[in-house]
Amino acid sequence: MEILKLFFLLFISSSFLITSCKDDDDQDPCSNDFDQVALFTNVADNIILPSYEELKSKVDELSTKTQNFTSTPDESGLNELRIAFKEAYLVWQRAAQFEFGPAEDVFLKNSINNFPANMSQIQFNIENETNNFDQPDTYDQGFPALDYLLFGIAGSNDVLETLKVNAENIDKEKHKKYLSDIVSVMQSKVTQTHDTWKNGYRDSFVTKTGTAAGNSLSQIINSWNENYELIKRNKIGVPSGVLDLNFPLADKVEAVYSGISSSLAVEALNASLSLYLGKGKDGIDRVGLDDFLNEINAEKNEKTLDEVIQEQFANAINAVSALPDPLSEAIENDEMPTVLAYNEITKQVINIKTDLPSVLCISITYVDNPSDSD
Amino acid sequence: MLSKNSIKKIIWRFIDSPVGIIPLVRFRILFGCLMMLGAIRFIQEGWIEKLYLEPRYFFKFYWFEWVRPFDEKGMYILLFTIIVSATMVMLGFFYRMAIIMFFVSFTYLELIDATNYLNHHYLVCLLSFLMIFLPANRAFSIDALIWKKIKTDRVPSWTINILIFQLTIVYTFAGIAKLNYDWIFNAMPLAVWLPEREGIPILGYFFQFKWVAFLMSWAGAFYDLTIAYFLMYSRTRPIAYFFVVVFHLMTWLLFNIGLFPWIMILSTLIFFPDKTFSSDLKNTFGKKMQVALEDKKRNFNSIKRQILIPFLGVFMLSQLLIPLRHFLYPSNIFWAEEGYRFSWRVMLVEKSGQAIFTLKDPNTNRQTEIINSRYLTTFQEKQMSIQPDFILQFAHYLKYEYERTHGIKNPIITVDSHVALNGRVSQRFIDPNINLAEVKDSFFPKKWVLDFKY
Repeated sequence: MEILKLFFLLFISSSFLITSCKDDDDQDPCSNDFDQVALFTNVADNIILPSYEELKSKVDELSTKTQNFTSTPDESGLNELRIAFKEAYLVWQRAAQFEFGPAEDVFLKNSINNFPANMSQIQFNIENETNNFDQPDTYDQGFPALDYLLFGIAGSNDVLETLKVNAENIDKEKHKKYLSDIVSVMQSKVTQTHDTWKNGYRDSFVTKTGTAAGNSLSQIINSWNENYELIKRNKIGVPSGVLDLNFPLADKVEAVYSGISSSLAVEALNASLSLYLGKGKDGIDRVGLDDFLNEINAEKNEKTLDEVIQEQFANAINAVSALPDPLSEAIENDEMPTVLAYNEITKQVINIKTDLPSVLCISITYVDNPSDSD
Repeated sequence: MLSKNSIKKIIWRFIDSPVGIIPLVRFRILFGCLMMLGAIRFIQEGWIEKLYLEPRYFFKFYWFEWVRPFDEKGMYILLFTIIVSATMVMLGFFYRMAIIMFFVSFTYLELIDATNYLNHHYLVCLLSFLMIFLPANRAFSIDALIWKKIKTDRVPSWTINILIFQLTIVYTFAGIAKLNYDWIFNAMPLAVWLPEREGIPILGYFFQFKWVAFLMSWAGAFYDLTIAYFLMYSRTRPIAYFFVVVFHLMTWLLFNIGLFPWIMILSTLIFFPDKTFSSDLKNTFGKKMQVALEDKKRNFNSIKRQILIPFLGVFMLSQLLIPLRHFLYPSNIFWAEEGYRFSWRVMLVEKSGQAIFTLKDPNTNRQTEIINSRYLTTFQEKQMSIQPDFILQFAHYLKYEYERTHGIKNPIITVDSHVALNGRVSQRFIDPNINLAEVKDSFFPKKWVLDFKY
């Protein structure tokens, strides 16, 4: 009995040890009342599928133009091919943020847009008629390699010369072959991703509710964040020099030869915002993550978290929009605007990578715990 | 006031009275077996590579900065040492040497990278340290077969009570730690973790309801606070043990906590006394006393005992005080984590954050943002961004790295860091104006960690 008394005493006294912190007014963390199926259906039908459809049609177009050009290479063919390249690259920015499920299975992002391209590797591949496209992490394929082949070889005027059909010049044949190979790999991976989404994956995606890792909500938030960080680091951060003691690395921008880096970055940020708002290609704002945040009354610094995020998206998009194309030249002249744009992009990360998952009670799973916890 | 006589009685009862050796032997065999399996699992999961070979930097424990990882061969030798010594402990083969070997090798492994700190690994260190002083090899062991003289069926009661005491400390402090606002009134962090386990058959269905998180939070706190005492009391012991098994199987099912449930399920068997021995003696006090006196003469060197008992007494006292040290710090313990480790604060917070370091060369005014993943694994980065001492250590490492690779002397290192705790939005964590390169770590309150506001 004495022991029970002792324990009771301990119980009472320990309740005094309760650390009192204030209740956070009306916020309701981890509420699971919102309609996840509505969100997933909107994201799948109005954002993801249309993005893949458009990407597929643009890459098909790119493939047609490539075939046309390689069979009869002339100036107008090259121009058409270049336009098709730019259009497809722009559309890719919207499709890039869904790297899970079907896209992850074919390493879509790494196959299509690992930049900066490794020029010496590309030259080596062309000369030796090899490639390692089936490796997931190479820098010799996709848009960056096309950027180099179509815009970059020894200055833009020589590109046509290099690629012009010329039966007696075996090197040119090799170039054309490499060009076609890249495009056909892109086409097959995009087609496969698109078809898998359409035939079955979409239907399971919209039903995978809950907050567990691997369910749709966590997939959307994780891949959205991963993509945002790639925009921040690769498109803007690395070239601006903020990551390398203020020594700008202008030639590491995306699309360095075609010179459309800023447009691509703006498009990518807009795509990121649209996904957050649940806004489809038709411009109609439907159920998005913003509605979830508002439903649980998430607040930050005396504003709603939604306001904070939207404001910061606006700041980031404005700052990047102010950067002229070609970005590499702009950075060489004065890297400060790019550095400032980088800072605006960076300020958003805490809101969308820490705050949003925290109040929605989703763990960021691309940071994996390799061992036990306790 | 306790009379001299009653003090004597207490000492007799908890320290010197003879009790059956079976609980101690059972503990030794199960502990050795579990540790052996745990180390094999560690290798099989590829954790030597992931946790000790892949990282290029390791976070240190204060006072143990000198601990270094070995190369691949060395790490495997360390793990094999753990496996072999655990097996020897299990078999009771050169027991004293084996348990010392186990304690040293296991503790060394745990000290290499503070990122991997786990409360139950700390418990293993403590238990194996205590076992060095326990005569757990005096029955059912190879040692007792070889050296027949050491064989015995009874031991002084302190050898078992000290383990009971240690486990009671673990449960009680784990329970007290749960009596905080978030756990009791917000069901945090279980309200985050349970819905993530919706996929579990049958049980998973209930995890979508918030009352379940509350129920489990309250039940968990009650369990931790009371279970050790119910285990002490012979009438409640069987039902209490049933709850031990149920509770820990639940945690095993729900969370990725490895060996912890099994350690607790098996070690709490120490609460079950050796019935055969006490019935032999018919519980007669006089007879017991006589046996003890004989034992004292025969087996227990009284000088050794007179040094050992006070030493272990002080050790156990420290175990009572260490978990309370956070009262010496003004900060919120879940936020600043001052006094957090070694205090049985188990599964109490859902924390995430980010730490963006900027390093500035004061001579050229050039500055650079640090890509943490160049130096840390994703797991290390995650842990670093929520623990102030890691943030400081990493800043010091950056200072060293940039001096080594870029020749930058006396860099100014600041951090832009935010942390979100238990379903809240983030708050700024570290004073962004502090040059971390010049801050020394110590046991004094970390003034550069900002206050937890809400």
